[in-house]
Amino acid sequence: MVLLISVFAGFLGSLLGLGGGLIVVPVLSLGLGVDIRYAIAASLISIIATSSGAAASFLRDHLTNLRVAVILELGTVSGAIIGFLLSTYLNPKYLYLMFGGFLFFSALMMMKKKKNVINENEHPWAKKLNLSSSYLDPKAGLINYKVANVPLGLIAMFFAGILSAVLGIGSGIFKVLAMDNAMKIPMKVSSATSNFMIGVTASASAGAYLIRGDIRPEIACPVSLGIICGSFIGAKVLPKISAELVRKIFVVILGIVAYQMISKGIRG
Amino acid sequence: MDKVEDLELKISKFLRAGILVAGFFILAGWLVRFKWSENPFLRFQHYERTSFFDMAEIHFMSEDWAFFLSYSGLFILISLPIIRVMLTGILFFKQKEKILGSVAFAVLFFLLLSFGLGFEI
Repeated sequence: MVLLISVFAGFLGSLLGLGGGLIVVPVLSLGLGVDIRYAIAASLISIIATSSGAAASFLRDHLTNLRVAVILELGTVSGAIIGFLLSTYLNPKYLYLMFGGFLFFSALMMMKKKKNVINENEHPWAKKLNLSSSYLDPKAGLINYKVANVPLGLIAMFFAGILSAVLGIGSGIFKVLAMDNAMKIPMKVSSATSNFMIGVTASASAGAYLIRGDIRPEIACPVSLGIICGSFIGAKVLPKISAELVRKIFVVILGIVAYQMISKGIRG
Repeated sequence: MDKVEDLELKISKFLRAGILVAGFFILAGWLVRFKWSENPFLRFQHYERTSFFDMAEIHFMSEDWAFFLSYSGLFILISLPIIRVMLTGILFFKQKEKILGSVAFAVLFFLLLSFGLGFEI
């Protein structure tokens, strides 16, 4: 059952550009009664699997900005370390509340229309490190873009890293939002670069969770296998189905699950 | 194809191959240990902290090699992004971009450090 649900999570994650943690953690904790701390640890494994698969495709398509990714990974990895240390002291009921809140936030963000505005201002750090780049759009041709506000992006990534380690998510939505709004990186590049980074963020805490014994093969194995299969199927099916329709259905599901997670957190 | 694109492509192929290898180990370990007759999740309804090394010792004594097969797959999977960061760092140093190379190796240092945090704190 977990294998099938994970295939579905990987499939949806691949269609919607998510790591799968938003689906895996509620299914394991609410649906199958697994303690949320084991669910979070298993979810991090699934994120690494999805991210590595997606990163390979995005790198091949030259959408990922490798330079921006390396700089921002410094923020996410240090945030993930702090997040792992925080998770040791957090009561599970707060994990449910935080997860529910993040699901609501994700649903809201997924409803927002995505704009692709090209920025003309380049931050001095971006200039020094040659972060600005270009990508090939099938319709618009070669698009050059400049990277703004690198320090704000780094701070946002630090908090994204904390969220990732505490909740077992890739926090891709948060990362894309920061790159898009603060650093003015085009949406396609932000999504690809975020997908590239979430695996590194997840492994920063997954290694520690594994050594601590929270990653149990009985849970993590079917989850990661399912996610790997699902994301491969999703990548094949993606051009043939309407991702917009899937997105709308998923927003409703996220809202319902968010309500259930928060209710469980309040009940304790 | 320039050097960056060439290395990006190599990293991309490495990640794909790594997922397949990790998937093989995880699948093999899972299939050997899987028992149709019981619900594997019943044991995980309550959190109990048992470190990886304590579990490994128990499974080593009982010669449960499938346990190590599963964990090998999980270790490979977790290592993929870490090796990717290392390759990226090497790429930047090869291109004489010392700042970006140093940042990549700082990320690598933090990633390796994070494993240590899993020990009893």
